[in-house]
Amino acid sequence: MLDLNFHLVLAVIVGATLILLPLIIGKFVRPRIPTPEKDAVYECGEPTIGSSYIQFDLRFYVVALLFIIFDVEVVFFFPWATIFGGATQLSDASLTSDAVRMELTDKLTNFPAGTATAETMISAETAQTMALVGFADILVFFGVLLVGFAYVWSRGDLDWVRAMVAQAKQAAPSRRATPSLVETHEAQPV
Amino acid sequence: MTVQQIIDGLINGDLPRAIEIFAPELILCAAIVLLLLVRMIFGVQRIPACWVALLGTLVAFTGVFAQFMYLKTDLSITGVADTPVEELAARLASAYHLTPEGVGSVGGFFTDLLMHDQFTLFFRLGLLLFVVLVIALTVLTGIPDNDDGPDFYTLLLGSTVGMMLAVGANNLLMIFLGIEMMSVPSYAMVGFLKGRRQSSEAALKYVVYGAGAAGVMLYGLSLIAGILGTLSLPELAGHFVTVMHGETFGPTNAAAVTLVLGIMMVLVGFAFKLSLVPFHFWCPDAFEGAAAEVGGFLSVASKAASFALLVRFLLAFSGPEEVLHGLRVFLGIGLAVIACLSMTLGNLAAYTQTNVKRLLAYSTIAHAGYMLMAVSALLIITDAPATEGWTRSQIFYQSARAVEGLMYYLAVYLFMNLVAFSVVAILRNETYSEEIDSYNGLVHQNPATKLLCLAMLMAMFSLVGLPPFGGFFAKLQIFTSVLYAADLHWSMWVLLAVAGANTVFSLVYYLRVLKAMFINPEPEERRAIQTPALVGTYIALIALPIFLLGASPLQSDLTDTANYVARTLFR
Repeated sequence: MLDLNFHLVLAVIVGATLILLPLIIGKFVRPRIPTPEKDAVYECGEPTIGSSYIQFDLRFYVVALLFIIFDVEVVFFFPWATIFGGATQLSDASLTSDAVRMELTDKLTNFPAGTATAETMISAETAQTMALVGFADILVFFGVLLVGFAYVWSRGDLDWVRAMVAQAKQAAPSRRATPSLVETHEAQPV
Repeated sequence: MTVQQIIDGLINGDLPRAIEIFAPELILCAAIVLLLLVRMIFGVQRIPACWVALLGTLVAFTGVFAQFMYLKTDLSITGVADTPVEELAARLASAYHLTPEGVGSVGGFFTDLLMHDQFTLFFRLGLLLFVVLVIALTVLTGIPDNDDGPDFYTLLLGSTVGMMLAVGANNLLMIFLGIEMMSVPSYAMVGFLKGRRQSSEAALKYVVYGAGAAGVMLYGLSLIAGILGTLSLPELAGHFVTVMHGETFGPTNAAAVTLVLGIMMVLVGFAFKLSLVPFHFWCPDAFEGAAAEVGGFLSVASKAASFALLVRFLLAFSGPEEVLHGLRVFLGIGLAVIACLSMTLGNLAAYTQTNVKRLLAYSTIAHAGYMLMAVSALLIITDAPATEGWTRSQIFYQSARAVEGLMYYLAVYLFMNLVAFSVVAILRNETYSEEIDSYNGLVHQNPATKLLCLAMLMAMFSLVGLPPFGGFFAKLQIFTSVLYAADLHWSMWVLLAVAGANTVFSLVYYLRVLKAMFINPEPEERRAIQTPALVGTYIALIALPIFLLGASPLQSDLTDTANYVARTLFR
């Protein structure tokens, strides 16, 4: 316990010194010549336009939120992909070498190499079941994700400016209302 | 064990059984997807979202009902149906393809992440019944409107699935997942009245508070898992005894202190969901800003689910060992203090309120305090050592009685609070106000409004705990449990005294609402209020159980059922 405390204190002291030391050295060494350009806000080398505390379009939030939702859901594909990949590899019936099969089993089950024996190694049939069940799982998961995506799309949440799209739709003649189109054609000669 | 055996066990043993038990939740999930699809394909005008949601919930409700009856009537064991009830249960069971190996066998499922037993089923049943009633209410009051319907019901059903997961949680991670899954949709539901400043403010406060509580809770869970080396609830007690190495439970023991710290942090998360003092600050604001329908849903459903989860989490530390007893008594007294604070603060703060929803919010804080008394008594009683002078059967009986009291209270509370919030929602549609003053002289309006006033009277009297309403028996049961627990620990006397005094105090502010309705003169400039007859019928239907659960054979029926369920917890 004491040893651990000592290490903690040591780490804090060393960390603080390493940050503070260059700052202190800099304070004494650097020349002090302030100019208006030097005091200005740094913005990638460009002249600043104005304050960053302004109102901006609410749509940024909606799009950012949607991005995060779908991004996070796609992250769930990664652990699945590693298992699915390993299982598919093992489900290959032409893979007859026991040594390779044992090595792949260890990789899939995340044990140190050499753990699997001839009894515990995964057979082609087992790997096949695993892969199929995993595939069914991801289909359901992805299906639900797609329904959500389609819903968001059909609601118009992906249109950048919803009000303008709605106006454009109203202004354009509706495709379904064919009778009214016919009427206007007939009305034109008059 | 080879991978082959594990996979065979999962696919042929655990998975079919789990899906059979989990079917109601899956039906709800399908209903959510259907809600989205229906809107995309047919639009909201042709098929309103409320009917899809109502249908999905009803099917899920019958599913859980079939499961509950299947276990209750012992159909899984005997297989013969003699009485009409058993015949109905048998018919339902065959409709939902229930098998003795699946729903019939009690125990963990989904590799022990969730628990399937009578206790879970009772709460799943209550939750789904409540959601059916809430959806019916939203159909009648017209919040949400047709356009927002799919969004609202998606959130509502999503939150319900979370609650059903929470009541069955058998693993620390599932506890967190359940709590979060029921919280996140409710944040959005609180802010659902778009364009109302108050509503957005309420949602923001709720979200920030909820995020903080969830963080603390997750840290607590990691501490518990770290010190005990397991996430599974049934293993916690055994691992704790091992970790203690025969030392006594006390403030100088590092393992004990760390575990208590972890449990207290988890209890912060629970206290937030249950709006217990000092984690109640979001509650009045959230309820005032949210629509009354949402307020009703949050006040009952999320509380019931959290209480079920709390009981299950704390009962994980039951066992005859001296260390576990020390831990339980410590937690029991801590919860008693929180219960006292919640009751007193909730009741005192309710006095000065002029908004009915705020008043009801403080009332729910006080009621969470009353219900916490049962949990506190349960912790003191369960597995008390023989030196206290109680026989084993006595301890078993009284532990079951404490849980039974809590379940009975929640069942009655479901109807009391639903009636109160429904009346507020309906009167908001008629008078456009939620102030107590706007209720002046409502009893002189049309018959349906008179019925509303009568239903409010029953709900309020039941909330106070006056006989012959259900609230009286609910309070009586919990008070009796605390009285028995006082035999084991003196602090329960204090709890009992505070609770008794609070019950008397609470009469006054409930009566203020009733006085406005029945005694105060009607304002002259008000237009006539025409509550639709259909709404009146709905209110009468949900107000009737308050009376029936207090003064009819139904009272003993529910007590017996609750007792049967509670006893299964202590086998």
